[in-house]
Amino acid sequence: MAKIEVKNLKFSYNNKDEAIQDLSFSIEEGSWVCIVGHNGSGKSTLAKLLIGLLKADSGTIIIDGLELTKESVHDIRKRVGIVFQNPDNQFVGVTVKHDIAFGLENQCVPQPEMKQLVEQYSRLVGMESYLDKEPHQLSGGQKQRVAIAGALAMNQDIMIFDEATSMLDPEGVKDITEFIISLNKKYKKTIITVTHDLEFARLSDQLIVLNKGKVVLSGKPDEVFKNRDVLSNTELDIPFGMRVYDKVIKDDKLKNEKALVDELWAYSLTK
Amino acid sequence: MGIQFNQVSYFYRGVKNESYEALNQITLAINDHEFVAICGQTGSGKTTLVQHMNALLMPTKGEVQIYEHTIPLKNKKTLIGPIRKKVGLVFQFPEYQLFEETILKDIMFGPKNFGLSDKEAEQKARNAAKLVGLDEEILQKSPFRISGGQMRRVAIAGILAMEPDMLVLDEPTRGLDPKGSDEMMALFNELHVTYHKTIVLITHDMDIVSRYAKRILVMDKGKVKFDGTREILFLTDEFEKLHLAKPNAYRMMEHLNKTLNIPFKQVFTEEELLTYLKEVYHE
Repeated sequence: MAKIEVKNLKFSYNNKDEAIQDLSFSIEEGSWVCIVGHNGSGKSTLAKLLIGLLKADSGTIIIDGLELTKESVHDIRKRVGIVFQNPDNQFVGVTVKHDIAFGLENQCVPQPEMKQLVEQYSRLVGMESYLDKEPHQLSGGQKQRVAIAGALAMNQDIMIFDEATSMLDPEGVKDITEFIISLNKKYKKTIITVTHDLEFARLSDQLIVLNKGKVVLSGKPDEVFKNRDVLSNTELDIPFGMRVYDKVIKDDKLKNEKALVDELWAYSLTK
Repeated sequence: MGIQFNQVSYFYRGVKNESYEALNQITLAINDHEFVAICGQTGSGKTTLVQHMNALLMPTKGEVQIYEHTIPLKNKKTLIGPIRKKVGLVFQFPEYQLFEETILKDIMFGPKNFGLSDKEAEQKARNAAKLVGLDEEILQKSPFRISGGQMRRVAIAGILAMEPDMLVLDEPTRGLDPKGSDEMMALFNELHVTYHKTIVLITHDMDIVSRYAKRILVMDKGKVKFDGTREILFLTDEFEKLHLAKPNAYRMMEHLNKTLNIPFKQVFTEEELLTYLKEVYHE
């Protein structure tokens, strides 16, 4: 059974333009799926629908066999965590430990257990020596780690990252990207990353490419990249290696240089 | 004229009075009509350095000469305003500083602060809006009802409305998608080429650095570790120690040199790489 099952999902912000148009897909347990789309493609709207921050006009979302409804939304949120783009807007605690404990407090977890969970998950994200630090003493990447710890402490095993690295510096991007991969590979979490960055998306197991609220492509990265005529209509930035490859195979002379063409293709898919 | 740093050090004071040296004896000149990129790791002192360029920070030791003014000011009565009018500083995520009811009012805020009448300020604001590519029609809208990329343009127009000679930008493309980022860089390039503005920008994006900057400064632990052109930067012996990436085209060239034995040549952009490949294979 799929971990997440989305069927015929529809949503509009103003009853006019549909931000999400009849969307269906499924996500397997333990996989890393990347939802890719340009600004306004509906990708963040979809992320908000998946955790019940927005309510679909029609269609169903089933997570762990449980259908997302007004009644079940609290149970769903115990399973699905989300980390947003801006590290500053989601830091609610006075210090790191208070921030990690925020969700647990809301769930009325007893104090001794809470303390133990905060320590455990701060260690997991490598922030155990920062427990008493205040947000202004942390880098963007560290704040994102704290947000992840808060979600993991609630034992959520599906994590959504909505452009979670796009405001970070290159070190922060590398750090959080590697951490997301380890959450998937080492801790077997089901991961959904929402991004416009195909360079990043090609690292995942499966891509779902959205354009104007519809799935235009889906599959393994190399399968998706073979459909570049479709991709190039989505306003997404084609990764550098792929762009060079495309120009080379359109050049009368260069396209016959098999070794070059093969090397460029291999280079653009290297993880 | 431009800006001259003479032996500038800057210390941040911590809560327990311990101090942290963010700039260490920097001597440096930024000349008129330059296009300079400043790179370096987080915490290397880039932002502290540029905040000295319009007297937002004052050196703990040493002096900064900003056009005809010397900072710290010798005479307490000298106004700092005229310096800030010469050098416009755009912070990281400047869209967070928008606050007015309409886009036009927000852009007018700077010139009005410098004592211009509403009418003059509005004229300057309209010119600046046009310069950054904002449509006339949206000027009466709230700055909070437009996209993030547009908001950033509004914030930059607010600085340009003060008609600075030098524009200093702290990571102006961070958080923008590739299209927004390209458009933003095209704007700065136009301000540089057509309007002869001096551009100083902090960025981590080495593709941007090597496409636009004529001069590159690399900061490390409060010092300028490299000052020169892209052609020299990527070949310096200490390049590894600077913790910088190489541009995409450059890396692919190195890869093709290693795997297919294509003779190495320095290329910095996609176009340069393709031109070179054609040269090699068309012969």
